Amino acid sequence: MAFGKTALKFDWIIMLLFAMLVTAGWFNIYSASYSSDATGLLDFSQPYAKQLLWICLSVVLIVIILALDEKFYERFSSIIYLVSLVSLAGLYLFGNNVNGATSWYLIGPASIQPSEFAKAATALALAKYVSDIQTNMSLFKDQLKAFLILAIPALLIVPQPDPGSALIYAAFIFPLYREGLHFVYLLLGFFAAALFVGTLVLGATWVSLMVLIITAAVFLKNRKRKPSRSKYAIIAIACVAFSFSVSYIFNNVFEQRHRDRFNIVLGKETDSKGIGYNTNQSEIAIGSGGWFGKGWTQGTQTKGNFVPEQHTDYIFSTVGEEWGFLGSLGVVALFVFLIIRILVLAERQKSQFARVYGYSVAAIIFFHFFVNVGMVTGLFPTVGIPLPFFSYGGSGLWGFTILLFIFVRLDAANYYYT
Amino acid sequence: MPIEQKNILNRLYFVAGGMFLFALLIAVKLLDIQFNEGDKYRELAAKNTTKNFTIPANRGNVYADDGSLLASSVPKYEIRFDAVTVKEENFKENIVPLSKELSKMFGKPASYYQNLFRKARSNKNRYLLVARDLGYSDYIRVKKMPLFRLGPNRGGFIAEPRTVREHPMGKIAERLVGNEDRNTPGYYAVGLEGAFHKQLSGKEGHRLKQKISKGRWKPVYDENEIEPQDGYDVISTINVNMQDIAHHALLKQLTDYEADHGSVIVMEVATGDIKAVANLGKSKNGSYYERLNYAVGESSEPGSTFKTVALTVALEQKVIDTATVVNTEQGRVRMYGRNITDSKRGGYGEISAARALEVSSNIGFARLIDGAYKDDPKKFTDKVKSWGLDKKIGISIKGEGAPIIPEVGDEIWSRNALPSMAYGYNVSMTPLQILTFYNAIANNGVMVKPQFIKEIKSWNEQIAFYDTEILNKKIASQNTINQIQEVLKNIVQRGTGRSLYSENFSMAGKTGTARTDYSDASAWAKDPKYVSSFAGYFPAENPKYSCIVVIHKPSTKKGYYGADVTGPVFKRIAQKIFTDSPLKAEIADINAVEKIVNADYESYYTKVQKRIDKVPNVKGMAGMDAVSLLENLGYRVIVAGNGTVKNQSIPAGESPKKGTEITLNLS
Repeated sequence: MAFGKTALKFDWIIMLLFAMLVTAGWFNIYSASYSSDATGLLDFSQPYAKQLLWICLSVVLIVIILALDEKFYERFSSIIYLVSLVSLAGLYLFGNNVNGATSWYLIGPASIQPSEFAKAATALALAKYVSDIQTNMSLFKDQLKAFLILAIPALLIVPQPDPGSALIYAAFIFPLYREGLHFVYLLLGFFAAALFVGTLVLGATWVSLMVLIITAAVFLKNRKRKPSRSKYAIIAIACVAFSFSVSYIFNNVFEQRHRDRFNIVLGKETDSKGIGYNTNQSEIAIGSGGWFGKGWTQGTQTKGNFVPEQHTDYIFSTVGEEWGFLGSLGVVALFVFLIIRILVLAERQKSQFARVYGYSVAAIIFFHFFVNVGMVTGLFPTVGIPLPFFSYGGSGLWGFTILLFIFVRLDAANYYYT
Repeated sequence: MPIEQKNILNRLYFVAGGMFLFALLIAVKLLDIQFNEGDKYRELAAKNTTKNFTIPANRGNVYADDGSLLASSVPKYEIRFDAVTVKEENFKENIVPLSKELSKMFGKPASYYQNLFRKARSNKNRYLLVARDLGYSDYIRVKKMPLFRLGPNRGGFIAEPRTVREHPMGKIAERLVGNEDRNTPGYYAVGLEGAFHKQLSGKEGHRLKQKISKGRWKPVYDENEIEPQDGYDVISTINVNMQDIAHHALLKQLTDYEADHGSVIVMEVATGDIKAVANLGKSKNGSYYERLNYAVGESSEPGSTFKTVALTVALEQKVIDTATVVNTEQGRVRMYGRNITDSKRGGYGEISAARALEVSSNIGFARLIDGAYKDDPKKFTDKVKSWGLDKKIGISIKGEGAPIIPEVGDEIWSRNALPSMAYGYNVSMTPLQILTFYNAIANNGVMVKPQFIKEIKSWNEQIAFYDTEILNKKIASQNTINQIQEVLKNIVQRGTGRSLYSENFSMAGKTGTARTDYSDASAWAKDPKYVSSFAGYFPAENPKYSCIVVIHKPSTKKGYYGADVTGPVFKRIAQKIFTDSPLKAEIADINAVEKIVNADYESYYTKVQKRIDKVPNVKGMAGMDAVSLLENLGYRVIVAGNGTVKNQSIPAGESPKKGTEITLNLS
């Protein structure tokens, strides 16, 4: 144990940002869930009181994480990963269904959501694998193995069903890119997303037609260099196939509610009381906030219980309504600072394990932040994932606390670890 | 896995830059929502969080002529239980005492309630019905029981108030007063409630409220945007005592004669005020209840009571006089191919026209009228129509039956029509329409419109007063009227109505016995059905009230003649109203007391109107009135005992806060 020796080396900026986010989060949860029936701050039937308890316990958690030797995380990463996979698989046997998803273990009065902890475990496993001296990320074989590490937990989470939490694993593309994954993968990702959206908006036939025209044009332009016909043909066919399969999956595999969510964001449907209700109400709440907001606990939309899941996934709408544009911008800034700070720290790590892990932490937090705020402001379809450190929920808070503070611990070791 | 240094930096910038771009995207979106579309969203938010609440107006009361309540709105409570919201320890601790208390109050065993609650909890029932239709004081009692006293969130106590229309006089005159439609609350179609629905219901108010948390709304302004206007009170002409007499007299006779249904109307001769309307029909189990408004709605062949109309026409047009002799032969003649019979075996032989009415001879009337009018039947029917007997009177209540008086050229006219009309067939009228004619005879020829409503009031202010409406200033010459009055009096003295005769009390009227449902002659022969009636007035010399009694389908085994079936009802009503009156002295006293109470009562309302929040003196008032008066003033009333108020816990003149409890001891 080198606790005493490294105590001053913990990154106080990250800790401060963490504390600010959690505190701001709690005040917003209080405002969103406060009801005049409550008997006081410690009325544990109220979400804000429970969250206060989770926050206090997370401090205990932090002390434990920081007290452990940094080598523990690297050495036990595979075991932690396996335990995490078992806990995810175990849901299919012992899990409890809450709000339509079997994502929870109910143990006495507490409920635990293993997918919130699996992110940290996967980040550790990925970092361990990528930092292995045998691994070369420019080799397709190793890339495949790295993807497998990510795919297993994601595939265990999807059928719960919790596609939102599974989507988060896409964030790992950033650390992999940093570690040498070819740029093509990122491009491929963007291109697939563009094709996906394009297909939904214009339909598979038009998109295919456009793809064929574009490939033909590029091919003709480059014909002097004698490009390989088969390569162009394969790309074109793959794009067309992708477009049609998206169309097929969207119309035949997705449920109507999923289709509706996409269609609303894409502007193909509008409604205010039905499917798009959540987002609509949350936009109303944010929009009515203006520059400075209505003030803490003064939000009429928040108080009126118009926004569903307001203290969990939609907590940012409370920020928008009660703290206004400046308040929301402040929260966005806090997240941006935190993420940049993590990236900066990750980049100066001497151990590759710590660096990959750091990038993973930044990517996961960023992805959560972006998807969540995107959903609340109507940029994104409704994907049920929490806002890190902000949203109500013990599992979520602890999952992110563990994720972040393992990195803080790894970073602290950086100074004497050579 | 070494990578070139520059490449790494590029990758870092690329990742960080990408993230920064996304963050910027969010900031732009925020700007768009909060400023570009901010106004739209602020408007939507305001629309979302404020709502116009309807404040229901209090429905007015329906009063009898002496101010007794016939219909009034009172709050009733339904108690439900949310078995999920209660915490385990509270549930365990309180479930037994709560069940015991409920058992004490409602009489069911405590174990019944315990089972009920436990089952509800295991089934996660959040809306278990515990009790319904509780009055205010009962509701307060339940609210204070263990567990329930913890309130809606911790005790699972749900109370749902609703306004119920109560009839303090019970089922009496229910059809006339009218009922709330069972399927559409707040909708009144029938009776006085239906006729004066607009005046009674008042106007709803509005209040703008803002949602402050789940299920909680706070008024935006101090005052209501639109104050509700309470409905007006309707003061009917109904006299509670007469109604009671009529109801029970009819009920007794219907029961004795196992009749299908019947009705009674009592009308004040000079004013046309309807003092009582009883309508009783047989239910499936044989008991009688206020079923339909037969008195107003049922138009049928009147039979012999119409002979008076025929005789009045003939006398007035001087085609015969009361002494004109007619040969009724042996009580059986054939006219235009149809048999006409009289009820007396062997017949009456040669009799005068007046005597023909006294004994109610069908043959006599058929021959008299046919003889006088067969060449010009229109002369006869025109006279009848000139009194408006072929038209609805046009009363305020819905569903008045249409009378039928045929004339030459009509589809139902035949050579038989005129002689049939003479003794009350081939025409159709409602009891109220016949009574209107008899009332005109009693009123020396002045035909007045039957009236159900005296006035409409808002607190003490008179909104409308309904004066007597004269339909026909003089339906016939005084001479004719005198003659008819004389004959009607004689009917009771020595004619078909002689069984009614009483030495110390004079009545005048005409019996009627009409066949009904006779279109299938063979079926009728097997099971003859009659409508028995009696129309008349009393006292005969100086008529005060007219009255008609109609009973449909009495059991023929017991009797069916008007004199036997309906006559006694008429007599009982007449005697109860007038001759059984050693009460008179007492009535004077009661009136004196009532006047004082009424004066007080009215002054309270005046005070209420001026919003002076002082407790009124309710001593001596009927318990129900006192409760509604005090509750309307915003106090909570606890009642002990029955009857009139003996004393009140907060004396008159004090002004405690709204919501203060006042205990009333009744005796």
